Amino acid sequence: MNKFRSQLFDVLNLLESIEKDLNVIDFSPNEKQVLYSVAKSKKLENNISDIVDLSGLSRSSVYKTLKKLVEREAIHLIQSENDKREFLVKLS
Amino acid sequence: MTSVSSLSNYLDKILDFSKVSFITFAFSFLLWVIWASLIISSYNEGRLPTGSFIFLPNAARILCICFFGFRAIPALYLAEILGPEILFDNLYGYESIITIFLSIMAVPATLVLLRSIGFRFLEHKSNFLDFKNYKHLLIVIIIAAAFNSIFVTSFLYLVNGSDISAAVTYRYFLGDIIGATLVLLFLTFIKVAFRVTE
Repeated sequence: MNKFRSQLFDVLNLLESIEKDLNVIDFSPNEKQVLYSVAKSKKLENNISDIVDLSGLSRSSVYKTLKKLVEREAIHLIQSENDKREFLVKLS
Repeated sequence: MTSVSSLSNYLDKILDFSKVSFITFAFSFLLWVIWASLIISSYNEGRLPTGSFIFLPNAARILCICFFGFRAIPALYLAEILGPEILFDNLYGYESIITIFLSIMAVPATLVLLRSIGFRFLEHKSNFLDFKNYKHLLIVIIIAAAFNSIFVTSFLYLVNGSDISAAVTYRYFLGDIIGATLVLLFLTFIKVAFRVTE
């Protein structure tokens, strides 16, 4: 690779390092779908069934995606006070 | 055979220099025009020039010199001279020929200073200052902003006899840092948006 191109790649790497620290790395389509569903919902806290209905994704996809979004600290899960087996989803 | 390969190397270097100069000129000129439209509209409206608080072209100086090396300097100088002289009909007065040069040289001066106290960069191995990490680049931005504000205001005060207050030096210093940081953030978001669209 010539010097000029490698220098341009270095600039892109710089922008990537900013991107990582700002945590603006793009979400996968499923992650976006679930996140937007939570954000668009009129309720402050949604259970899993609400998100399945709103997002149109399968229950298992929603479970997997929620786990990833929790790791990214985009949402957090809280235990329902009415039903201890149920978790509610809230935006971070 | 040797002369053919040395000629080829020479042509490669010229081509590389042309690409660096073109990109540097375009980037710096674009930032200067955006910034100038900001400052001129604020002058016309009789407000404090917001442009000097957000000196966007500083990002071109920092990025181009740190990543392309000192060979980016001629294109940077040309881009910054052409804007005020031609597009805005001698906006700053003729002392800008020197003040712009001093401002650009604040970046090499920073790199030389950092090198003289033991930092290593622009080398392929064991780089201590890695410009791919924005935190390292921030060090250069801050020191270069300090040099620029001191160089330019000292010139204007000592040589040109202008009445320069400490507030102006401070504004130049902050303006350089804010401008370069904003452009870096903007480029990052453009990159993210481009990838999402893709």
